[in-house]
Amino acid sequence: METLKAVYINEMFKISKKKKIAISLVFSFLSLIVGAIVVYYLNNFAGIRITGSSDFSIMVLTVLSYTLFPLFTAFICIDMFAGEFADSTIKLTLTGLAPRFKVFLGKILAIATSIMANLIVVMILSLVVSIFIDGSVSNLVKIVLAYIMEFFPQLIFALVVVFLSNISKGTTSAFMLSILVFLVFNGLGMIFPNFKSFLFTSTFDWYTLILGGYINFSKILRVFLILLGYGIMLITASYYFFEKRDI
Amino acid sequence: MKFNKKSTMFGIFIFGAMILVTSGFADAALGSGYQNLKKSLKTTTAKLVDDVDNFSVGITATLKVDGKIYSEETTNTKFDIKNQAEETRTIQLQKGNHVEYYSYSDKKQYINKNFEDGSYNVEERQKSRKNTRIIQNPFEEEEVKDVERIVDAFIGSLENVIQVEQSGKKKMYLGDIGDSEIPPLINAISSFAFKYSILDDYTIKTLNIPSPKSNVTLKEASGKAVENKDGIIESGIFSVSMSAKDDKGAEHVYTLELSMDIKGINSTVVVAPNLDGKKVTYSKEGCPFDEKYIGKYSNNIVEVKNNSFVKVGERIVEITSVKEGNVKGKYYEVYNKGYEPDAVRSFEFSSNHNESEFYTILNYTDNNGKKKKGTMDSTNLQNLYVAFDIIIDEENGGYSHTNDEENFNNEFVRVFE
Repeated sequence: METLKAVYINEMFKISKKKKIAISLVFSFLSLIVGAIVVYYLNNFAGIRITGSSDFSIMVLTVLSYTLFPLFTAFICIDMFAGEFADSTIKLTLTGLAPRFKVFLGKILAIATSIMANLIVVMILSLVVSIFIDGSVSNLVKIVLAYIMEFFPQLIFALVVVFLSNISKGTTSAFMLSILVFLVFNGLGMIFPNFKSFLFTSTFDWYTLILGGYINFSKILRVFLILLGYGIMLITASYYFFEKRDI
Repeated sequence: MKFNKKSTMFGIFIFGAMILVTSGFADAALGSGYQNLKKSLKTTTAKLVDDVDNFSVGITATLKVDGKIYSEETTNTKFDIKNQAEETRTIQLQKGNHVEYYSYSDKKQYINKNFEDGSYNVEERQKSRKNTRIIQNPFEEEEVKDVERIVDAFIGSLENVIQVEQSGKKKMYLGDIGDSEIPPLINAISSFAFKYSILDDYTIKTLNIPSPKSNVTLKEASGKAVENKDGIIESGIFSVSMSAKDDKGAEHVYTLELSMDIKGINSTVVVAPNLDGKKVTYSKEGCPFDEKYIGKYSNNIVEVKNNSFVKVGERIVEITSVKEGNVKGKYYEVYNKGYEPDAVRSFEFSSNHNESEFYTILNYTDNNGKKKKGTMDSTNLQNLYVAFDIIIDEENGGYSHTNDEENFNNEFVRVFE
């Protein structure tokens, strides 16, 4: 446990030193401000409330869950695996005392933490902005729940990227493969709506399941199990390749 | 030890795959309420169009503003698919006034009632009329299929709005979407449609309701449909609420409610109304002419000379007989002295009522001995619109002039002597 904690703290420290994280936060902040300005000015365009009365925080989540969140998740994951393998900095970690499994787990935990942090920052910022736009925040519980739910599909996407980083040779190919998987899965969901259940990308907006007046708990459970299945498969497969890989 | 670790990992991987596959299949098999409802809609239309002999449909549409009914329309339509007959009754309630409509149609005739004096109009169907089916399955049309694909691709998370519940042998579809879940795009499109097409300036004026000026937004949409044991959706209720501010800044809620039920499957009887002792006006489909049109119609042949109009003669159409929708007559030109051309046109024409579904087609032989076609219609109560030398394109319901004769005037004015 102590070694895992040490690896985790080490990984978190590495992430926090990366410029990409600062850029990610700046971009999230900028997109929020732009979104707020657009919403504010469009709100009564041609007599129509374009944005309707939906919560600003949910709107931001809808947009970012398909764009900025997966993009920065991919950056962090690729840096941590493919990047460290490519510039051989992983040698320092792996030749240390910690066993490979704990290094792997520590990295995954660090990734999960950064996704969560990103979501929390965006949520708080969007809530502040919505106070400026609407004067109040309604449905606070639902908004918090929606952001918590969004964490799971983003983590699954992170695991997909981790898996791809472990099987690919360099950072560029890992990044390209991740984008390809993201686009192909989204495309498949559009072309074959019947197979949507099997695609993790179609769960990016599963938080809408709790927004309605009628909450279908069995559907939420099914989607959660699908995500869990993905998670187990991806972690074992990624670790298999991570362990086999030569430094 | 190494082998052991590998097989453990393999076992965990298989365990994860099993969870994914079983819950994935369960989810795909249950389908979303949206997919189920779509399937059910398709079964319903397919069964009503192809399997069932007759049925009736009742539809009620209500427009409410702030809970008060401003307009209501109830339509009852009976379909007899086996005999291709259809009967429709509509009652409109607008500002306390009742307006009624009634119509009946079958293969031979089309009847509608004039509620002001209780008389009927009977239009005899053309024999050449193609037997188009009274209802068609919209889901079989290419256009609708494409729309379906687009909706499927973009429905996204809204798929989860529709829920299915089983009660006994019946299935119930429920859908309810509140203002916080409506995606901005859907809100924008529906608000636009609401402001510019459902509640346009004309409707607002006739119904005297507050005009939606600003802050138009979708408030709530809900629906319920019941599917019976045969897979037919037998009833449905749908309601949409929009909120908007009027020019004084006061907020109003506009609600549109729609309810539909399908009943009397295989027990609906459609019969033509009994016209005994009623005042009836008979006419023939595609022919506006009867005996009163027998007579002379003319217009002037005019030329420009020294920058002034000069009348050089007259074109004359004479209808000599109208029988059973068949028109006979002649066309000729009379020129003033000194203006006669080399060949003065003059020929007889006749029409055969069953030749066209839409037009009174004139057949004639021109001065050069060529067989040609023309068309004749009535305008301004007593006048005629006549075109000669045309090509008819019945499939697209139109005709075209083959050579546009310069300065030919198609309007012929009735001559009273």
